[in-house]
Amino acid sequence: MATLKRPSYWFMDYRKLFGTIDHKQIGMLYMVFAAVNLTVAGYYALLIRTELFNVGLDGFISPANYGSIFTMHGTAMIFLVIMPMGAGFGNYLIPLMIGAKDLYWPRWNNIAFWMLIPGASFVWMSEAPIGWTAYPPLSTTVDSTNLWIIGLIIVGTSSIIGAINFFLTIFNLRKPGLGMMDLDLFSWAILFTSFIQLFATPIITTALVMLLFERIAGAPFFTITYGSSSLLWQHIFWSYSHPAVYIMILPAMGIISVIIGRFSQNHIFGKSSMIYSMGAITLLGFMVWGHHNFTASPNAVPNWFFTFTTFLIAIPSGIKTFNWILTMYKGSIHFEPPLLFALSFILGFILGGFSGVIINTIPLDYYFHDTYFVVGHFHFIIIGGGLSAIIGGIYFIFPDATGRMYNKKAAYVHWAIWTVAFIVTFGGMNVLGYLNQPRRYVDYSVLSNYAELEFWHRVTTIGAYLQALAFLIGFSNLFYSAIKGPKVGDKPYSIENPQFWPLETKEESSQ
Amino acid sequence: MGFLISMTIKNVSGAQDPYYRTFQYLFDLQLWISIFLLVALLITSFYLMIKYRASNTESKHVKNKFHSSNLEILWTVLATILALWLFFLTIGPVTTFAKANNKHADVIVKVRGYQFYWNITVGDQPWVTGVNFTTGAYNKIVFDHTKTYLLEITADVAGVIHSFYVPKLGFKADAVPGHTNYVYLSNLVPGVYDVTCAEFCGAGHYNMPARITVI
Ligand SMILES: [Cu+2]
Ligand SMILES: [Cu+2]
Repeated sequence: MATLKRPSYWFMDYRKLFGTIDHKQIGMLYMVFAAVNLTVAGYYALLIRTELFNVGLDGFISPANYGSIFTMHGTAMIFLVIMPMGAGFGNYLIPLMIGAKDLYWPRWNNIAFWMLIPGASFVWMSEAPIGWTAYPPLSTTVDSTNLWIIGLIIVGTSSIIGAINFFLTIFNLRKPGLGMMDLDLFSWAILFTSFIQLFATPIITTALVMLLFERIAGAPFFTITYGSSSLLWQHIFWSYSHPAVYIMILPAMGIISVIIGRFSQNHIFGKSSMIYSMGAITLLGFMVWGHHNFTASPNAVPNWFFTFTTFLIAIPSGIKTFNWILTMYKGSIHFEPPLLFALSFILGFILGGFSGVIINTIPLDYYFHDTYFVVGHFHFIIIGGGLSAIIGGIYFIFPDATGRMYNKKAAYVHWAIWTVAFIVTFGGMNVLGYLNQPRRYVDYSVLSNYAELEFWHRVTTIGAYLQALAFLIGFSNLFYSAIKGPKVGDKPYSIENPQFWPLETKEESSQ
Repeated sequence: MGFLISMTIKNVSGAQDPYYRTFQYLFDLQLWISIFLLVALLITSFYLMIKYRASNTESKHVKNKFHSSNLEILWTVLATILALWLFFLTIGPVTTFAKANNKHADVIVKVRGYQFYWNITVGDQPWVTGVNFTTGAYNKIVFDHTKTYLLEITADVAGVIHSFYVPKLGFKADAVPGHTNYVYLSNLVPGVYDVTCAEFCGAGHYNMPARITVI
């Protein structure tokens, strides 16, 4: 072994690349995978925004292709970007947070990651114009949906394996003396995320298999002519896909809880209420799916139930927001790039939260459902919130992952442009929704207020291009610094514990 | 408290009005609550950020164990009251909307969604599509503001789901194959109302407009 000349980077050796069972390396693979998909899915978003810049069909995207483009954008951002990012952070950090050497099942961990490659390839190759929600009867008739279904089943299986692995790790591999209530908020977030993945993902897998059987074998699950109803899909689909929202946002909440505590040099305010809030969000998350169906079949009793449970979710979400803000009280706040991105998370979460309460109010949902208002709402939460937290987390662990430091000035520029850009983009979408612009329109000239719509579409498009600029700055900074950045020791930041994991755990695990 | 009650009563008594009025009232209310909370949170955050910035604090490494259960209980209770109140406000309008087909209406309007147009019949009139395909002009769908209307909204049995969206009348209802949704309209205000499709139904989804003229 010693005679073999090793390449300088571990991933240059294909045996190490495909066979690695190291949690940090697999975590980085997840993040790189997600970053590549983000690049393509973001490019698709720019295609959409470019088409909508001017009113009228200008031939840039045909109506037929438009369906494929927004479907791929949505599917990829959810299943191939935000969710793998959460898994990446869990892989990289969980063993360090709890003082374990690795995850419970290192080899299953490797397999779960590499399953994503065929899964993602199938999804991208399908280009199915059905919307990521894939409502039948449209999704039972459109070609190439089979590939999309199979791809998502593979991705879902990978996610279930990952969830079981995190469960086993957190329950069994904590260092002696570390009780469950001593666990940090990031580990709790990953634990709750894994709970949702484990109990919700089988639902979508079932639904996808049913849809596949209907498509290839004529099984009449969702076809009206056999006496069944396409509304059945909407209920099964959303009883997974609402909990899935929390698969995306809980890891981000965990990341910013640690970042805000560290860079405020403070304990998180109300840690136990943070844990209970996450638990409440996790459980209530399984009981709210019908808020996606208020207009599908407006019956009073189910609508009351689902609007009630959804209003309840606003309570733990509010508690968490107050706790994050109060964590800064009597602290010593160091405005390093990770903290700034964490603060942007809070802003995105608040703005998206308000519009969430608005669209949960049923008479308002009759107006806003399936308009740009909803699009603005979930982008504020998942991109303005979730993606901001992920970027902050990447800046935080970058010195440890690469041994080098990024350019802080460029990171500040990245943050400033990014934050302004997402407010402009998604705020513009909320205005478009108020002006009753429906979703998934390749052109809006049939609406009589197309002139004012065009103005706000242009604002939104400019915001989207600014996001791309911010992304370009951040990406080139990290890429360049990973190779040529100045070497950094244990102290990349001026704070007392400049690592993501607790001081004590690291000392113990590095012995 | 009196404010809360008066708001609630105003809403319940206004339940007979067109849905758009309920929409505007509830939206304005929530918008102002949101703006108020946003400003309060921003002021608090910026105050804390400026006051406790590192260059302004003596010890760079505080480990402050500040905790206040009273504060936590206070905002949990306030958030719960707000959430329950907002829920309570929706009960009346939701019931009214859902009971549409129990009401007697002067005219029955049949709406059926196709890929990619609407077939609409008002009372005894023959079917019209939303748009005349040869001229591109909107077919006249005329409602009388002195009459009440019951919309029976569904879709082509062999087709896909659409959603019948009339924003300025404050409602949309999904047009689902094999399933009928009912919308009851009364006290209409004269004017021209855009109709669009709000559920993705294929390549022509963006292009299935219609117009309702209320006289
Ligand atoms: Cu939901
Ligand atoms: Cu349609």
